[in-house]
Parts: sequence; structure tokens; C-alpha cells
Amino acid sequence: MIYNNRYKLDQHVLSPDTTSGNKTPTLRTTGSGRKSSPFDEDCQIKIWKMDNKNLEIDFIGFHFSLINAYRRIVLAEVATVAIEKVFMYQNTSVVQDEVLAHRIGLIPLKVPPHLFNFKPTDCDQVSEDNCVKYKLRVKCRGKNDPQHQSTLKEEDGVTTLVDKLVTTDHLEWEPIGNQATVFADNPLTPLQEDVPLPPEVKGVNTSLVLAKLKPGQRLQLEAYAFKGKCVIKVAANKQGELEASVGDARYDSCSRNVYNYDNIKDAVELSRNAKHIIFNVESQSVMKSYEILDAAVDVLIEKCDTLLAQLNAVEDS
Amino acid sequence: MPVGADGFRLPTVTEEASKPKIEVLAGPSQCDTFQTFVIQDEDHTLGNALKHILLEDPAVLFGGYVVPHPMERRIQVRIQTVAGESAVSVLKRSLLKLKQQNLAVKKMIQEEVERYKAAHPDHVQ
Repeated sequence: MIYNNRYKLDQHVLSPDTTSGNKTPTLRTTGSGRKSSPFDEDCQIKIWKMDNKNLEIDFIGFHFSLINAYRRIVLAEVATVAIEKVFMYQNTSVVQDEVLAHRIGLIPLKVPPHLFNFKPTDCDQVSEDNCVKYKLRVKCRGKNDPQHQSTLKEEDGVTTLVDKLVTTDHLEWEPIGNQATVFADNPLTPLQEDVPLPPEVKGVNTSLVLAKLKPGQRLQLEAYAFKGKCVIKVAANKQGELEASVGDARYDSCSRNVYNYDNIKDAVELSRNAKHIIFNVESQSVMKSYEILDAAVDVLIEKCDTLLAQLNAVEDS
Repeated sequence: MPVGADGFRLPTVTEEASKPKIEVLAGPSQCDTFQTFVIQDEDHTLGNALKHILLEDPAVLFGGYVVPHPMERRIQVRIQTVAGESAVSVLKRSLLKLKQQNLAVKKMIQEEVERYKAAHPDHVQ
């Protein structure tokens, strides 16, 4: 069978925004229409979905290299605050020191990075501006032991009794300097997962498990968080995808299964629209998804500024 | 990637200060119109974006970048220009263009975020 009515895929239009009633969303346009634009072509940006954790944004008309730079910066160079040093005083659990320290380093913290300075080069310069301190002092009493937390003495070295699980809830934030007053309303505790659960679901543990203890085992450690350039648990990916059917092209994975069917394979042309980039940001940190993208653009601007300043200095000398 | 774990630690501030961020190479194969630049502490992120901006410039005959070794955070940018244009000025122009594109994108994102927030007040706190 010969298909005369071939449907060219780059003419396919992505489905309209179903979350709002507006079926013909207005697009922010720049480009040849405005003389001042630095872009050679018409460029558009459109957000399809956004909340604090997730962002789906379309970059239309931009070159891949620029948007890929944002993706790489989001993954590697937008700074967050994460635990970097763990001082282990006592660890009688079965979890080895280094394994436990690594787990602790992966905890997402509710620390706004823009309020902190980068990690000091010298340990003596640790201060309220660049460091957040945590302590973990737990002992397992065992399920059948009625001992209450209030009976703990200072010489025990622990402040918390647990039955089995040591979680991020047991990590105590110890304010340095003025942090106690500055962050009184937003304590710098580990990030709590705010999953909306139906009321009938109970007993769900939304904090992260760090270790499991047997009766008598104890953990005593101090952890220090610094602002570095490593983002933990922020995933971004990018697909330029289009599909032949008039279904929802946004969620097509460019499957080539259609070529399995001899009777329709000639009617189909799978291609990508290189000028339409779907950009997803998932935030698992205290930064909101769109703040991460904004910070990524800032990082690239800063790179250009540094290089321009240096080039000017080279020329002047 | 600039991950600062101690095993693969970042250069300290003093080490970084001793090396200029960008270096204009000198040597027999270098001249005003055919120049190699070494940029410290950068990778494909800047290199690829910059290369495409360079290639859009009509004064550029050749523009490219390499990462000489994946474990060293440094890129080399090579630019050949038409006679009468120096590679340094073309690089400066391209960096400026890249910066202006970023500023434009930043503004567009902010406008779009505001629009979305206004249209969906319940989605974002």
C-alpha cells in the first residue's frame, strides 16, 4: 500500500496545556522580532508543569549546546549544602564507619544554599556563615526494655533511645553562632518528605533510615555540612521527542516498534525536532525546581564574566 | 566534575590563584589569527556552548575545543579567524554574546515563571 498522505513529524504540535483551561497558551517570544535579541532565531520558553519539586519547561528555537550547558550545570555546578565531614566517636553498630558516613553525606538538608558561603579552605575559618553542625547520639534499648529517654544521664553520651531504626529524625541540629536566632522559624533539619498521604494510611516512615541497631549498640558522631558544588539527588533530563500519532507526544519515548509492522512501516517517519527541547528538573533539595534552573543560568553568566575580565586583563598588560 | 571529595579534591584557592583562568598560548604555531586558549577549571559545559557561538561568527574560519585529558579540568579552545580580525577579539565577542544569550534566557525564564505562578497559584508556594 502506498501512503500519499504522509504526515511529516516536525509539523506535529505538542499537546496544549491541559492543566489550565487556556488551550492556546501564549508563548514568550524573542528573536528577530526584537532587534536587541542576542539570538539569531525566534526563541520561546514555555513552562508546562511546575511545582516546588518538579519543572517541565520547553525551550523552543534554542541551540542544543546552550540548553545542554544548563543541564550539565544543574547536575554538577549548582551549589547545595551537604554533610561533608563526619567525626565518629562511637559506632558499635554493624554498619562500618565509612559506610555510615557516606549514608549521612547523602541526606538532603533543609538548608537554603544562598544564605551560606562556600566551604572555607581552612578548618579554622568554620563559622555560622559557612557551616551547619549536626550530632547523632543514639542508643538502642531494645523493644522490651521500658527504659525512658528521660532516665538517660549525661555520662551516657547519648540523648536518644531508639527501638531499632536510626533515622534522619534523630540527627540533632546544633546551631553555630547566630544560627539559632536566624533560622528559628526554619530549623536547618534534614529535609522531610512531604508526601500527601490519605488519612487511612498510618505508620509510614517518611524519614530516611541511617542504620539499624541491636539492643545496647550505640552511635555517637558529629557531622558538618558545607556548601560545595555537588548537588545531591537532583536529576534533570532532556528529551526532544515527537510522535506520529495525535496522542500525547510529550510522553512518547520515541519507540521504534511501529517499524515491526510491514503494512504501516512505510507510512511512518520517526524524527526529532531539534529545535524543541523538553527540559525536566526534579528537585530533591530545599531549592525549588525553577530556582535550580535560574541558578544554572547564573553560573554560566558568571563563567563568561570571569573569562571576559581575564581576557581584558591579558590585553591591558 | 568539580566534586570536592578529598580523594578528588578541588584545587585550593591559592593553587587556583597561581594559574590564570584563561591563558593565551605562545609558540611557533600561534599567531593573532590562529590562536589556542587554555581555560582552566572548565569542561564540555562551557566548551561546547562556546564553540557553537564561535561558529556562528562570520569572522571565524575554524573554531573548536578539546578536553586534553578527562581527569584534568581544563579545555583548549582553538580559533582561526579571517585576516584583519584577531582571535582574542573574536573570543571576547563570542563570550559577550553567550553572556547576553544567558541574560535573555534568564529574563524569559523569570517572565514565564511569573506567568505560570499567576495562572496556577495553587501549584507553587
